[in-house]
Amino acid sequence: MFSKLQITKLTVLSIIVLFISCAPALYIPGKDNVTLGSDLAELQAGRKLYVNKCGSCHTLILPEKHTAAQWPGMVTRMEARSKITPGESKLILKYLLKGKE
Amino acid sequence: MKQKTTIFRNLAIAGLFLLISAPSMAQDRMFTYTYQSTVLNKGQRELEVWNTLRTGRQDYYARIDHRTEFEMGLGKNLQTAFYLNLTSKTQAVELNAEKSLETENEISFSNEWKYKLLDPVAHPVGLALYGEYGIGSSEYELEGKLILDKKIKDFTLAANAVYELELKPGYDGSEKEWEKETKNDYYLALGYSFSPKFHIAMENAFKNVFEDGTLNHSALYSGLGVACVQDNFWINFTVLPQVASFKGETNSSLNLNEFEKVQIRLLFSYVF
Repeated sequence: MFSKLQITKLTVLSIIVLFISCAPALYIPGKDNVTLGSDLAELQAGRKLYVNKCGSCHTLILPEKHTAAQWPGMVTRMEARSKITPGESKLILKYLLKGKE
Repeated sequence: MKQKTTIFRNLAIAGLFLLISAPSMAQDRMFTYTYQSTVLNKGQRELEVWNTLRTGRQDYYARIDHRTEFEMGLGKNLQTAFYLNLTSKTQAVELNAEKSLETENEISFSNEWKYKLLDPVAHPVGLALYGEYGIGSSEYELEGKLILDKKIKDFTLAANAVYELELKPGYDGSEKEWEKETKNDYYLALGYSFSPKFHIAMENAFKNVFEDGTLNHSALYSGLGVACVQDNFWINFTVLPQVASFKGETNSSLNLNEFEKVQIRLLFSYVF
């Protein structure tokens, strides 16, 4: 019914659609993430810093992979190595904790 | 004598302790043939050993490719690597209607550069560009790759488009000429992570060989593999049999002139 080449083309097309149709694994801050201790602009800035300052050196870790108790120590340890300021690290941490202090 | 033994024993214990206690920074490489867009951390180094066995052609054929790779993260999404490649192949040759086996060995050097443009975690799709050149005693190579990958929960999807140009010197009578061969390969892989330390993967390779601009050989390989990570070590193993041919079939719908019936690859690596 289908030639081998047609099946190959169909498979390639399905895969391209799958690649571009899904959202990123790393959450994009929305209104739901805004809490008393943060605003949307801060969370967006935190994501941008996390992607650019941390993702340029290593594979990004999803926020849910560590607990709220583990993240502060990890971010502090990386502060000196990645040359991020304390202000920037605070924004990154806020983003990783999804706005929860 | 006893003192010497104690010193060696203490050194061995200290070495073992260092290896075990080193922080886990290995790349999350799940596939053996298909590349992912991730690059090494800045200053991170990795020693990779590749061993590939290719066997099963129309007549006797066995080839072992060994690559020792030293990889370095340069920061700003860039990494480079240097390879020492050793190849040994034994194949049947026919001369004056008599067959015999001939073994050829080759040494070459390669250098790769990889640049990550989009991150597979932060963006809808991971994207990287890859370039490699190789210099051998009887072959020169240029290779370019477009790497795409994506993480969806515990699944990882990766696709590569590869263009390779090979130049081999030869003689036509007394005149030297360059034999040109181009390869256009596509890789597609799907991996599943049972845990951060153990993954299984299905890999597919669609290989095409062009001579003087004409497609002469085309085949599809499809196989299964496993990847294990233990602290700073990782091991990947894949068996990739040829499952179909689209051009140049020789036997039972496979192309066994240009390609082998099966390829088996083992990679192991240490990050430091």
